[in-house]
Amino acid sequence: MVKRFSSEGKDAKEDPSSSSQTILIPDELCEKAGLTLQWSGIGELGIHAFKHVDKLSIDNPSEFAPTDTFVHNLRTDSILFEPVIRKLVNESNGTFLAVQKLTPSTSARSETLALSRQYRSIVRACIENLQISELDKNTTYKLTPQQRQHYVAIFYNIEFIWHLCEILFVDSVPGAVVLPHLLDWIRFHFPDTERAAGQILTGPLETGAELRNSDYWDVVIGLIMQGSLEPARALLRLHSNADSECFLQAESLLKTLPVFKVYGGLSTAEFRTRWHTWQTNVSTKVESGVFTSEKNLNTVMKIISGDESSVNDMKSHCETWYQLLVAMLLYKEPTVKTFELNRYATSCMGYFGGPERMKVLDEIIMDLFECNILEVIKKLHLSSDSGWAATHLTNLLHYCGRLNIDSQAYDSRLDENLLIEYGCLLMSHNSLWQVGVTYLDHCGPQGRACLELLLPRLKPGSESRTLKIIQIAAERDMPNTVNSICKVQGMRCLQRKRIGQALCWALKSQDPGFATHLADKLLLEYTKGGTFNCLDLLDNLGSCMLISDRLTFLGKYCEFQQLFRNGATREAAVLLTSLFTSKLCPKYFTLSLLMDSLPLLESTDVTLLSAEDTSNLLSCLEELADDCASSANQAAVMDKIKLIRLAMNKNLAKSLIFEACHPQILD
Amino acid sequence: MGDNVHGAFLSQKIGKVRWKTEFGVDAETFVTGSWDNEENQLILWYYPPLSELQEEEYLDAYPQVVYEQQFEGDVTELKFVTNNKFLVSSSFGRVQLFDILDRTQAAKAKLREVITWDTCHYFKTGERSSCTGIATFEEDVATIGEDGRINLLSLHSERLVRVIDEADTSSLRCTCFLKHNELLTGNLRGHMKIWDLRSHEDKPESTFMLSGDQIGATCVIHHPTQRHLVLAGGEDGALTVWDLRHNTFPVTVLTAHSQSVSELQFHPDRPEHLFTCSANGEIWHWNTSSISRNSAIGSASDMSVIAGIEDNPWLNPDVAKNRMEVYALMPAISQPINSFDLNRTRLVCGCDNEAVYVIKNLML
Amino acid sequence: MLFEAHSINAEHKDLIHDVAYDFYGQRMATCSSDQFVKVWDQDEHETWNLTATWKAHSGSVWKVTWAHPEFGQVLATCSFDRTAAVWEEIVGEGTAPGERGMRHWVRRTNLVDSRTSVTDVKFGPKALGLLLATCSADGVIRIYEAPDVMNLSQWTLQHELSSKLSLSCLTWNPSFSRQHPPMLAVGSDEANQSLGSKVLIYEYNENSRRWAKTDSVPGVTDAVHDISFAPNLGRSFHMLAIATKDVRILTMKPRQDVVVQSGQPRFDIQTVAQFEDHYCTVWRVSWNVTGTILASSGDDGCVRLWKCNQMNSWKCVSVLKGDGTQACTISGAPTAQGTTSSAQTSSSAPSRKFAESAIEKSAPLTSMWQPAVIKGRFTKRTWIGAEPAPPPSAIDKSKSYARK
Repeated sequence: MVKRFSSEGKDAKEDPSSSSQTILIPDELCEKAGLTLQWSGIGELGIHAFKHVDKLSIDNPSEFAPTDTFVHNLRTDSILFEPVIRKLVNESNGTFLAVQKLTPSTSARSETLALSRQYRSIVRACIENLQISELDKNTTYKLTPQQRQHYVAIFYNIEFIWHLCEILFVDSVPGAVVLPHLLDWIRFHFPDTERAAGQILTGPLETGAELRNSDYWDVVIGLIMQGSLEPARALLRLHSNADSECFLQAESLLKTLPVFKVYGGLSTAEFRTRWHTWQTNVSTKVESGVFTSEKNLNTVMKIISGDESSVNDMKSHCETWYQLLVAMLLYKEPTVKTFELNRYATSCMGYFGGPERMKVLDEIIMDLFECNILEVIKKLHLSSDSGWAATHLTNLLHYCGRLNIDSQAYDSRLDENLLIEYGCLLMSHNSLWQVGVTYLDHCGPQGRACLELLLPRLKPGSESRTLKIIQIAAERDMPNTVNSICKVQGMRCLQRKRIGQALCWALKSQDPGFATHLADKLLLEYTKGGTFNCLDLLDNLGSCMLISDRLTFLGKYCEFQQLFRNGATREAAVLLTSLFTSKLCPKYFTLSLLMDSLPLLESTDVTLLSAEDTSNLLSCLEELADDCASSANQAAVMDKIKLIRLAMNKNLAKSLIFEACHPQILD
Repeated sequence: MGDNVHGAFLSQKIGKVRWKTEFGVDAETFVTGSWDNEENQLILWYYPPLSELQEEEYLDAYPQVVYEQQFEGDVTELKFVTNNKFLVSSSFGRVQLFDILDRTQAAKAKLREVITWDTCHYFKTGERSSCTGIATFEEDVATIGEDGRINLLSLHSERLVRVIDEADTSSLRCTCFLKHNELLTGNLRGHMKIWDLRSHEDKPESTFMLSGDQIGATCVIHHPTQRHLVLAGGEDGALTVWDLRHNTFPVTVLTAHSQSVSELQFHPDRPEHLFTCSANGEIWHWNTSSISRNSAIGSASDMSVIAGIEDNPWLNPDVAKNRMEVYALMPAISQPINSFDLNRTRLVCGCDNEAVYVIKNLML
Repeated sequence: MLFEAHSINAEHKDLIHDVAYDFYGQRMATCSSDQFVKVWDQDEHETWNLTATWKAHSGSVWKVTWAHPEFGQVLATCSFDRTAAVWEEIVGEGTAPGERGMRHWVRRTNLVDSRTSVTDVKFGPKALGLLLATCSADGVIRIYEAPDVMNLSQWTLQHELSSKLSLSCLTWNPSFSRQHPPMLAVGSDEANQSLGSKVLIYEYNENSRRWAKTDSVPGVTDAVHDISFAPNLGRSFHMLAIATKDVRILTMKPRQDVVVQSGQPRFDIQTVAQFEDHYCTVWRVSWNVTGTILASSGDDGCVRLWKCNQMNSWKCVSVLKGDGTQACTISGAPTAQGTTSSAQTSSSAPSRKFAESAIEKSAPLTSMWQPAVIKGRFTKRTWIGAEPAPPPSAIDKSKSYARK
């Protein structure tokens, strides 16, 4: 049964730092008897009903018997494993790896900014994919509307937070003017006003727009608050009274509003002077009642004059406190520095009910304005994206040199722990494990230790998969891991009765004991059946055979047979003698090997085995005969021994005579 | 990414990718097969050639999924046998023949199963063995597997034509037909075997080695016109070249990629161009046209035969060593590129980062 | 944390005493008071199939454990019947192409040295060879070795250590090196507090070729029911979880300056976490593969998952408990299935992940986020340069390659 067990998760909002979820296991026996949990694999676990027994317990059936008992096998799941979101996992991996090529530095750099934007683009592409996946008829994969909405919410919020984070920590040097970016942020995420303005401006371009569009003034004020002055002025020109004195005055003031440009050539001080002069001018005109005839226009002008009393007007045009914050800064403190934001943010939040009314998103934004990166990371980590955002953002901020805060409180780099957790999560997935590896690669010794632990535990599948795992381990210089995986693969082949392939893996695993075992198996099979079952491999062992004495013997023995088959009897005889003298021959095989000497002994060519060779062979034979004599039921063996002994004695006699007659051959 | 590369992310690692070739025109459809996913798929993609689109549209034209089909096990090989029929093999030891029904035959393009050869590859204990490769010669098909077995099939029959049960004691990793009766296989230990299929003996005609170090062979091909010229990729990323007319000792061994070569392919129309991709995320273009041209100018080709000078640069160790031009078609990605296919001036490749990339405007 | 679950009827007609998963989590062995051991295998569709069931002992089977797959498919069991046994799986050949061969488990050895109930059995770390440790109610720890790892029928009793305390559990330290000699820890469920520490540390001395008690954990005087070393991720110290009247996590830093014989404590032992959240006895502890999450099972009928946060403090992240009220709806299916398949092989219903009711899937998602009203502009045209990989400079690599 595939089920997802429900959890009575407390709302993370209550206390994000200590939230624990309760997972109910739908099993009556577990409720009655209690339960226990056993971890397995990578990120899997099993749960079953359990009652402790010990030495004092009487070995009787339990009070519940007879009963059905269940094991519930659970596997960690994550939204990152959803097919549509896997694209984000893979695509962001490319960006992550690009980030790791940088060296950490606090200076604003185009590289970090570009990579931060790349991350955001990927999040947006993910949101887009979530939205279009509903329409795509060519795919069998479907999400429910609730899921889709849920996922979109997660990633929308991530992008929103990331954008602000980028403005405050990636793309800024301390003390720089930050407002133009904040305006972009607000405009991007609250585009309704501009959209509405666009609609009015695509209508008839003649005066009387306020009569045709009921939202006319809302739009104008909205634009003013977002600092979109061009469209605001265009709209004002469409007002029925656009030609009146107060509108003309407003137009000229708006036209001359000084805009701070980061690369505008003006120093902050110069800009402030200019701004101050301009705003005093506006205030004077507002106070002298120039705009009182047009109530709404008067509101607009009060806003741009930076008048305290306009805050309530502004608030009614904002959905959130941070919109108000940016609008307020625009007309009160346009050169505000990052570290001053905190103060203004707190007061704006006050207008919206203060901290008690704040949701997680508000809190995170507030933390950002307070430059409390740690808190941001903590809260992001608890969001339901399985740590994707926290991991990647923290890592990026590390490379922006923003994480050396409170470093003494931590054992290691702050981002490393997150990377390890994220990497391990991906490693628990049947398919995404390869991506997981690249994260663990960047976590120092601990990441490496994780890889050594997890790589061998990846579930075995086809040989191609195993070869890929081995390649990953080999590339990272983990010989023990490689050898262990090869050995296991060899054991699997052995169980599948593929001895040749098992030997192949034994050689790769550099396990002499295993190679010896397999060589024994092959030799024993040969003594029974008279054939080798993997000659193609044995004939081409090369220097690999040196891994074990037994395998060397086997390899050499095959070479002997090959020589003999090919009619190279002289070379065969030399090899055979060396097989005896090297003492590599296992006891159980001595008889076979001696039997192989028969055709050589009986050959008409006396010089094949010299007298010395023959006596060597003879001593081996007698050793065997002694062993056999001590054990019963060896009649058949003894017959063979007699046969060989006879042949040997004959050959010994012949070769002694021959050598006596031809002494020069021995020299 | 540059204008020449269009990528599309999928939610599965891509094991194999092949164009559905059309005669004389650019292909607009390709097929991918995934691997290592809980549920694998065969996917039919649509990617319109440039000629059918306005320049501006083209910039936004990404490969699109047209049809998906569930597939049991990893897709281990895809091979077109006609312009709309292809063979596909699985890690569950099954081989299937599929037909692409286009919009003239069905309401929408889709795949139809024509023949299934179940349990082509298996172990003695009954466990399924991965089918690791397919070779085709006209109607004849050979399949190889981890179980060391060779199966011969015909596109017209659901029965196996012939089975060589213990063709190899190691697992077979790659294969190709040299002639209609001659099959070449390579195994995990780099043993290359030539099988004479007319012989009824289940023994290879000859055996030779990829390298002395017992490095596994990962892929093998022959030259499109000079079939005696054989190239194999190894687990160590090297390319080995043989001239099978002379002997089975390699002509050259070129160190190429730093990890195993996943696939290699000569350009079907322009065999002076070779392409390779690798497990460390590289895809390379090997251009020998300048060398071929030079040697052609230097001496009439008939002269060179007489003089014993090899015209094909692959068979000339010194040329291959010194003057081969090699280009990376795109920057290396962090995951293996498992497969690619060529169609005229375009190349499509499938990778373990769950993406397909189409590279256009190959410089041929 | 979010989980996807497969529930299977284990077909023991009584409570399961122990479940052990193999190295990959693909095979599962269960044992119960019915004296049987069952082995379950997961197939490609993640369905668990019962592939073997046999009567392993003549008493309740306490514990079951897998050897590392390098040694093949090997299990060890221990029982009330005072024995421990080692089992190996044998697979036969199929008679027709693709037909499964017979699988059965052969008892390779029966370890009968104990005179009382064998309470725990564990294979040693694979780098030490094929070692098996048992502990028993009479306080004896036995370490067996298979000198030829390819021959599982020959085991020799290498060491016999008497602890003088009735033992309930043992754990091998998974890591060792020159600084860390082979080590194991045992726990005793002796309730008498005056007998001192209930967790003892034994280490192997390369020179004397003997195991000896080198330390005992101070402050643990109540009965100990389970004990487990965490996997070592390159740390210089060891981490040990203890199930006693509460859950404890200890770190053990070897003291560099101490000579073993001097009688001084070998380790600087510190309690890094101690939880009384179960409000009662804790029976079992289990580490996840990386040693980052500890699961504890208590007499309160709950399993708690503990995780270490950034500040090195351990917090409860999840509580799991049985719920009979849901049983009719969710575990109903396997129950029904279990009754129909009383034959020797059965499997859990292989329903696919997405075939299930989608509501179930979305229900447990708890989100801290408000549903988003999409305000931003999301079209490919407004991307800010998102591309799958860095841009290629069309042709930038020209190399010449040396001949090998």
